[in-house]
Amino acid sequence: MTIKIILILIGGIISGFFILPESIYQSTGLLLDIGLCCLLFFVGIDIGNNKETFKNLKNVGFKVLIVPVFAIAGSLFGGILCSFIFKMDLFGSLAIASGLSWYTLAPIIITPYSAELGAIAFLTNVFREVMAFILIPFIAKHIGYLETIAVGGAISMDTGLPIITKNTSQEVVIISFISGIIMSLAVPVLVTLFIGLM
Amino acid sequence: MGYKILLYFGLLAIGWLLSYKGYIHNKLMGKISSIQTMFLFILIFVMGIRLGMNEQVISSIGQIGFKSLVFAFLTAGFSVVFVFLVRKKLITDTSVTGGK
Repeated sequence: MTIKIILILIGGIISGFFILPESIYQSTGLLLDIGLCCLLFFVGIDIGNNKETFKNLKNVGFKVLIVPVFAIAGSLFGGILCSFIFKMDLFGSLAIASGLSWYTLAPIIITPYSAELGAIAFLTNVFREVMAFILIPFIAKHIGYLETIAVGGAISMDTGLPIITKNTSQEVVIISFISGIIMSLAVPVLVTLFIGLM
Repeated sequence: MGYKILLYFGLLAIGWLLSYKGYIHNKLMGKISSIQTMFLFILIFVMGIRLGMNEQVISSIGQIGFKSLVFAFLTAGFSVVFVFLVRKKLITDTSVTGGK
């Protein structure tokens, strides 16, 4: 699965860079939205077909909240380490780390304070999303299902959800969606907070 | 964002309800996994196209690429480590943890 995802992603990047006209860029956004909507509908059908899903989720209960909370905590810890490695402002690093893969939002908040940090935030979150696509099948197989939600962060409720669906269980798909919403809501709050403290 | 969350949730819920109530034909049910894979690959290809066309990504890779890569690796990596350490102690249900 990982190899297929890498090959298809590279194929897309090459097509976008060398072959396809720029005029289709807007249409690709619409295509993504439509594709994602269809996919979520089919994911719903898949979940509904297994009557045990909600029973299993009930057994886990509120403990599922540890996923978004500790995924955010881990990201922030990574940001603190980066501030030491690159001798950067601590709060600037934390603002970048708080993007949680949402590469369109975090840079918009950060750029008015620092163009360089904004650019790093943008690229960091692009890399994190691509990294998540590539690593989710590996993490699901060798580490665990819940960790697949942590690697992508906020994308677990939309673009990351299809890959999580293919590689984990239906219970995890629901946890992923809820965790993705929580992390997405945290992004604007945390980025604004840390950039304000800089 | 609120509108998108509602839309995604609505579609998941409608799909779930139709399937739970038995309105989905067995023939379609058998093909659900293949359909999901097909949509997944189309989405990844289109996301690749968008990355390839995004001048901001292409032009900034040279200057700050390494720093951003380290940021992405450490933030994603420690998210995985933190969740792994905590869920190992608190969640044991293998349908959720993946049996590791």
